[in-house]
Amino acid sequence: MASKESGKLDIETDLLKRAMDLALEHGASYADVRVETYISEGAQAENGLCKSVAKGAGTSVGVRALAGGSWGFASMDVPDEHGFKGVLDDSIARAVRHAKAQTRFPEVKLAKVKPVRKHIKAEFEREPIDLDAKVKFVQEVSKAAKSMETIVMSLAEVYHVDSTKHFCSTEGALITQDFLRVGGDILCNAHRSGQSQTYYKPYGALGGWEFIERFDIESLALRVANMSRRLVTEARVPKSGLTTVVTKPSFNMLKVHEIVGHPVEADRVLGGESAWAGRAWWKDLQGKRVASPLVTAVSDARPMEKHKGFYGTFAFDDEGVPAQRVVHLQNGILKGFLHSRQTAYLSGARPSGAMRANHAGLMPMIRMTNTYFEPATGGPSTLEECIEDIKDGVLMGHQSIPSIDSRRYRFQISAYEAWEIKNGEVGGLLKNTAMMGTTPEYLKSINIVGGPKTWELYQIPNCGKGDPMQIMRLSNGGPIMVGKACIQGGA
Amino acid sequence: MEQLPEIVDMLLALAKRAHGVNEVEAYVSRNTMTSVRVETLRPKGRTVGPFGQQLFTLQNWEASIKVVINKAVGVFSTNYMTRPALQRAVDMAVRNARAMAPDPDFVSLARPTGKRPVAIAPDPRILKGDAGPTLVDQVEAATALIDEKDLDLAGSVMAVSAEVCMANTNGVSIDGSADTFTVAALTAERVDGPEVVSSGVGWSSSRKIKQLDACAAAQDALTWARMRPERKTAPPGEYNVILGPYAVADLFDNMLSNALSLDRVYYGWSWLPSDFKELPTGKKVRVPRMNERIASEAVTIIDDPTMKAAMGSRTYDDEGLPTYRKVLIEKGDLKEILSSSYYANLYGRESTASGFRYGLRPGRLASCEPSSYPTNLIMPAGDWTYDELIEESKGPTLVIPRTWYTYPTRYGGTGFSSSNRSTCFLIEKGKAVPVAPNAFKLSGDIRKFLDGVQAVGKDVKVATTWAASSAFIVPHVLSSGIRVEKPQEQK
Repeated sequence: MASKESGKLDIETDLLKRAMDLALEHGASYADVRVETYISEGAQAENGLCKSVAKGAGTSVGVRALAGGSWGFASMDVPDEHGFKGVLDDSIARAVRHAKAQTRFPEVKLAKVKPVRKHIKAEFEREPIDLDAKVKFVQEVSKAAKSMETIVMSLAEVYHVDSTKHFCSTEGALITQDFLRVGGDILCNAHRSGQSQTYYKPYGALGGWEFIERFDIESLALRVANMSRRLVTEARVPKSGLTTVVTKPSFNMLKVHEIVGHPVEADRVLGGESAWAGRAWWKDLQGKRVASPLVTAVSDARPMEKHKGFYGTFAFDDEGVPAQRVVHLQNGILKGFLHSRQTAYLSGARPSGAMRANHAGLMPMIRMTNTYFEPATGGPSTLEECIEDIKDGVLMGHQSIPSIDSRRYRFQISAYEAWEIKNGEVGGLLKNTAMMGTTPEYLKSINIVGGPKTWELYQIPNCGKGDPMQIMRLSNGGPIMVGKACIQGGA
Repeated sequence: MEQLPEIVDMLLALAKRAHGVNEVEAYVSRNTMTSVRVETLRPKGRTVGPFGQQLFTLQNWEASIKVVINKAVGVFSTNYMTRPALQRAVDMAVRNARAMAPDPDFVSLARPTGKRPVAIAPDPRILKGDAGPTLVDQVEAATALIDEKDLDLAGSVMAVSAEVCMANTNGVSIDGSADTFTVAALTAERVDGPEVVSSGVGWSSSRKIKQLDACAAAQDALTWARMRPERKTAPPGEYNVILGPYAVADLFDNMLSNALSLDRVYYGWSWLPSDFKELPTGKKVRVPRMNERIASEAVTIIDDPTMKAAMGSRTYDDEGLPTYRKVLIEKGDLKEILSSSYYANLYGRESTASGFRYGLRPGRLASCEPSSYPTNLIMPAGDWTYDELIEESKGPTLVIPRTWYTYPTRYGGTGFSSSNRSTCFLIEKGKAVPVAPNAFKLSGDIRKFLDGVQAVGKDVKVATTWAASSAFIVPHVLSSGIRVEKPQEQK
């Protein structure tokens, strides 16, 4: 093993295979090890001046073992290239010991998967720019945003993370996946006459700097600044009540996330998350109608053109299961859930390739991938077509903050921006607007689903789940949709 | 691996040698979490468990070096601890500082405050990582309390240690400080198919594992879960509310403690009343209106990191300053605001020693920059018994022991949305009638809630919320102006 100039460690995979033999010798019936090594670099500017530059590097090991029927897990950071083997051996011994300490509890069993040996390289066209260029980049972006009238605070961040994940199991899997991720965010705070409004937009992609160029971040910053300005200068608070609600893809990303994506996670469906993230109201409704026939929703992690660069795209999950497409709602009927090997065994289902941890040092959990509403074949191609027959309604834009009950039944999701709809046209800008509904009533009320031209996917950089909480990156979206829900105007 | 003080000394020595460096801070932490996760799984109507399904140990160590060159602050963090790796960390931090222009808002790294640290002894068993077997025993004893087939128990029983060592060139240092705490956080629910009929929560926490009582936590949770609610819901409308300690903790965590932070005021993300004022440096910033009334006279809020037995206590903050008790709100008036040294210096104030490095892994993380957090946030006990609070409330009243996803409608706003996570109670003719969990959405406004506090209970409990870094030591609170929302059902 050698320490590269970049700060990432080169991991000898033979060591991982030997470690798995050691796990079996210790008495594990199954074990897997994940090793993640990374380097990151980022810069942040405030009002046109770079305020922080942060870089980091590290390597972590996480070992999961089944012995006596329960899971044991141990993780450690690697202090240096010579200490790697010691950390690996300690983690294995501890994980197996932990598993054996729980032999009095019922046995965990796993659905079968075919072990794979593969190395998947990161796909990118352009290397990230160097640190000096990053500093210049964020300064210019935040300066442009700050120049707009009423903007009192503009923050811009950019970063890249170069990482490699290794997965090795006692069943013979040996998978290495390289990732290059670029991203950042823009935040503007506008102030006028005692009123403040914040508008925030993250951006990012799995890939190289070509994505940052494509996003045109300076224009994005100006749009963020302009919307903050408009929210304090011209927007009004909406009237609360039940109405026709049109949701843009930038709102549907959080809507599908909260009311479809989380409740199809099988650990929640089976009750395993009941102390934290909660349960799923549609637990026993597979095969039943839960939404309008226009509604189809899927999770699809497969690397294909429309998923390119999105966080929910990968080749194998953290159990070595290949990425796949899972249909959750098909024409309004509840179909499949997202499964781990364990929940698949318990449910008589197939593992979905959805087990991911945000760090090798943490246990993987069932997570969304690219989870979205499908567009309707032959559906309207434009926003204008979607709203032409609406006399009175509200158009919800870029999502902000969710609040949803622990069964994912009653929800409120707010938006940074919304607009009134009057006589088939988009009207005045609304602020402090939230959509409130009950999942089945709302999903069944959907009467227009936009066609493929209205479909968009967005990045979610911060999905929280588990204890200790893990923050996962994934992607959500959908086409323009029209349904009935309550609008709440707030403070 | 080098030990923590040696790593700090080495980092400081290496950085001082670098040309042009004005100030240096070296920080190293080692964190260990041992946890047992308990849960019931119910696939296809069968019950599996409850059982301790995962016993895990997460260990991380990280070092961070911060160098100041002509008011530009460069940072590098790593978990490689060899001398060449630390030299590289220093080189990178210097490189980062040189990539930036001077930060006109930077005054200096933390300077000694003259305050004496309040030492709180850690638990050696937790520090050694030997807590696993005790935690498994506690889980087993807690699950043995389940006496009915339709009751589920889920949650975590955990022990955490955080060891910190740091020093800067201004004479601030922590030679070695260790904090330990343990928590049992358990949820019990009565289920009927997909329905959660009744739900409760229980907590036990302490600094030492001897005082941990998972059975008491389970018993509290089961007491509520055994109830048979008489109402499936409560009518929509405005209510007086008596929030239980867990609901008060949830509300304060998401709507109050983050607002009481100077950096959030600076960025415009706090709802505290503020004005734009010019600082002596000429910079115009938001300045909180100290001594302004922000709550009713019944509200006093204290941050106390020095309590011997409380899980949130810390001897030092992560900038090396001894922590101390401070009154944040006194009889409704804003008296103090939490700060780290960067923002305190900018505002010409003294740091409240509240700069903590919390992040996405357990403990205190060198890779996270200090940000202000409360430690033990206390609302002192009032004079009212639970029965007296019920008697005192005039008009429609709900008693809500536990809320869920209490989040603001927008960043920096006062409006919030929530749900009743546990069984709650509707007061009818002086009698508390149990209402099912997840029965409705709640909406409110933190300013109105604080203004409306009429009475404070006499029994306090320690609680924390999902993924919170702080402990909340709070009683029942009677206030007004919370709305029960039943979206789509209320046409």
